[in-house]
Parts: sequence; C-alpha cells; structure tokens
Amino acid sequence: MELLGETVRSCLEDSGVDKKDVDGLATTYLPGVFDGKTHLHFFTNHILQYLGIRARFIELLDFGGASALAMLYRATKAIRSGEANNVLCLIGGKGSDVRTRGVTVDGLDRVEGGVSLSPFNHLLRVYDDMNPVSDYALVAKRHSELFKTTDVQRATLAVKQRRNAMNNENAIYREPLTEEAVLSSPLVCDPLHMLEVVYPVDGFHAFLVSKNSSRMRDIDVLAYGEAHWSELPVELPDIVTTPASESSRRAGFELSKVDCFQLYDSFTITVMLQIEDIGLTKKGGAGKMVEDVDISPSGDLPLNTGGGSLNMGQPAYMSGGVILEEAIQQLNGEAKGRQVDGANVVYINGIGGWNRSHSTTLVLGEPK
Amino acid sequence: MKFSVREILQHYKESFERGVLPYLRCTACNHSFYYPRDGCPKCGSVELALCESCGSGTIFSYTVIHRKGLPDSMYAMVELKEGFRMYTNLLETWSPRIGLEVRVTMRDTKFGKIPFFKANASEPPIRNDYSGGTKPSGID
Repeated sequence: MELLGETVRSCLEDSGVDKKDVDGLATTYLPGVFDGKTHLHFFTNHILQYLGIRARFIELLDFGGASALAMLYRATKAIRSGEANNVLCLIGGKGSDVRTRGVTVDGLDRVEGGVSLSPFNHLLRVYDDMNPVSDYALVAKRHSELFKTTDVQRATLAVKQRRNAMNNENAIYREPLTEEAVLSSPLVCDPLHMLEVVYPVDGFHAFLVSKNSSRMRDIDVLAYGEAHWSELPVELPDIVTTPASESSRRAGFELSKVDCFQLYDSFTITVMLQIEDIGLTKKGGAGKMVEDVDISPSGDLPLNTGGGSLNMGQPAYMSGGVILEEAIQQLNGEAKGRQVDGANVVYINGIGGWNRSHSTTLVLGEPK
Repeated sequence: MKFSVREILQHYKESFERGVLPYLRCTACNHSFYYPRDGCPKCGSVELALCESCGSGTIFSYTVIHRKGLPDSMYAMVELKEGFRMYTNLLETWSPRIGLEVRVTMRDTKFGKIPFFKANASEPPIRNDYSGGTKPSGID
C-alpha cells in the first residue's frame, strides 16, 4: 500500500492535478499481489480509502495483463461523456509475496484452500502444471512443430529486446546477452528457458487521464479493440492464435502509420504470437521476422523499445503498465537513450490470462 | 437427453472408477467435448449424450516441467480419437513428440481416480536426463 501511495503521489505531481480533483478510478487486481492478501472484495474501495479519494466513476477490470490498456480507453470514454474529469488508472502490486510461497498467481490454489481458478477445477487442477509458463510452453512447442520456429529464433527476440534495454536506465537487466546465454539458461518448461520468462517484481504504474492539458503532450486514443476468448485453450481450434487477431482487427489501424510497437512480453513466444496476430506478418512467420528485423529505436520495426517487461520485470504478474509506460514516454520524447525519432503514433497490444483469454489493442497519438 | 451437472459428474466419476474416459456429445450439432457443462458450448443445445471414449489419442502439444528438487513432469494436451481434447500429465512416455499415439491410464491420486496418458507403444527409457514424467505431484 505504501508503494501504491508513493506511485500515485508522484503521478499527481507530474500531471499537476490536485488529489481532490481526481474523480475517477480504473484499476485491476490479482490475488496475492496486494500485501499478500488473496481475497479482497470491494477492492476499489480499499484503494480509494487508502488514497483518500472520492470518485464518481469506478471501473474494475479483470483482464490481467490486458487490463491496463482497457483502463486508458475506458477512462478516455468516461471523460468524453462527462462522467469524470480526472481518472486515475492503477496497475500493479507485489510479485514477491506470491513468489516466496513457491507458486504463481495461477497456482495460489495449491497453497490456499477454497480458491477456484476455473469452473472445471476438478478436471484441471488435479494435474501437475506450472501455469502460466507451462501453458505458454505448450504453445511454443506447437508453434515450433507447425511452423518450424526454432529455439534460436525465440532467443534472438530476447537478445534484441535486451539490446533495447541496455539503453534504458530503468531496466533491471542491462548486461549484454547472447543467444547462447538464453539457450543455456535453465529450461523452465520445455522449450521455454529462464531468460524467455518474465521475472515478477513489486511495483505500480499510475496514469492520470484528464480532460485538461498538462506539461505532457496531449494524446488521444486513435484506435482501440478488445477481444475475450472464453474457451480453454485446449478447446480452441488451435492454440497458436490469440485473441489479438480479433482485437487488432477491431482496432483496424493501418500498421504502416505506426512509429513504434509495444507488444506484451510475458514470454518470448507471447511477442511472436502478437507479431503474427496483429498482422505484421502471416501466421507462422514470426520466427523469420524476428531474425530479419531491427527492433531498436532506430530500426525498421521499433518494438519493445525499452526492452519490455522481460528486462524491466513484471510488476504483480501483469506487464500492461510496462508497455503503456514505454508508449507514453516515447510519445512525449522522454525515452532517454532509446527515443524513436518522430514517435507520433504508438501501437500497443496487451494479453491477459494464463490461457490468453484477453487481448486489448490500443493506438495512441495526437488528438485529431 | 437433458442431464443435470450432478448427473454428468456422476457419469464422469463412475467412468473413471471403471477405467473408462468419459466425454459429452451434443446430439444437436454433434460437437464432442470433455469439460462438463449441461449445455453444448458450441450451439447451446441441452440435448446431450453421455459417452465413453476409446481412450486412444495423440499428443497435441506437451511440455516437460523442470523444478529444483522435484522430478520432471510432463504436462500435455491430448486429442482423443472422438475429436475432443483435454489437459493431462503424460506418464512413462520416454520419447514424447506431437502426434505420438497415447492411451489413457487411470491412476489413484489424492484427488481420487483420474485419467493420465502414456505412450501407446512401449518404448525403453533411452534418455538418462529425463525422468519420463513418471511421478507428477498428486500421485501418492
């Protein structure tokens, strides 16, 4: 909670908005990430009580990593319709409390009773898994089988993102990285290696969406799309396509007009799935594309320009805040050491859920 | 026929006890599915048939889970001959690959008797660095 208070104070200072003028909240939570607590009802009230904010607009989103982008969109809509003037968007919490218990947020039922993860618990949770890593590993394995994607290609993506991180003073991991080092890091869930998997950290992102201007550049939502696939992955026609294929189509934004891309990077394979699903290449083409393109800020396809959450860490098991922060810094010319020249349009895609049920596509740029 | 969730779960439990893999088939659209609902997830019809699978299928995808201080285990998606897919752990499968034929095998666990899968053809343990997924946690 202290971390939350500190982040919000710094956000309000930056935005020049007085706390008493904040009249909206959009947030999300996962079990165990708020001081280790699993069950919190009336969650938004806990947050507002602590911060001392009275709201007239509240949105609690439940899409994991895809929530952050939905918050920004819904806050913008609320302001446009006059339901609120200043909406605080909050994403984060602690990864450490859950981690020290030897599980992920998708495995809390292993250490606590009475926790449900699915309507089919009795046929799912009886097996040994390490979700979300093991479920994404199934996807990576099948992607390799169907499209001849190699371990080296996934490692290349990790290396290229690390190169971007080396110029980002906020990144945790900034030492040079090689494909060999990625592939010789321990296998967590075959074929995914340790250095292809995000590390859960403690932290918050706070964004203030306001109808007033601030010292920051005025930006607006240029396009948005959302898709929620309810099927268990095992019941989908195949597991190598994500709802990003649908949310991006719904956003319908021409990719040639984009200056840089921030794609959700819980794992290397996650980025590759989105590269295909948002239409940068055809299905199965991500391996080759990752080899060919320069994803650095000055490259032909600036992507995860701050190194992504693979190098920034994943606050509270959700990377949505990390990609949104990088997008906003790029748009404001504040991406020190990694600025994309003329970053006027940023394309962001978020994925949520151990089973990739949720995808949000958000394009930010100058108001039209 | 229309079945309650209770009746469906009873069919599943009894099937597991008899060593048979149950599933559901929608008699309106013919969609086969494993995870029990009282309506077809595809067309919404409540006209369902309680079925028994032949227990044979192929690996749709799999992963070997490595953890410090624990034996490796194998988590997988298996596609049954009847067309439905399910999550499982693979046991005694020494050379896993996508497309490999596997067969259901019921094991007693702390959750009761539940279905696992193992390679159809008996293959010798040729790899020393890999436990073959013999003991996922949950098997007492």
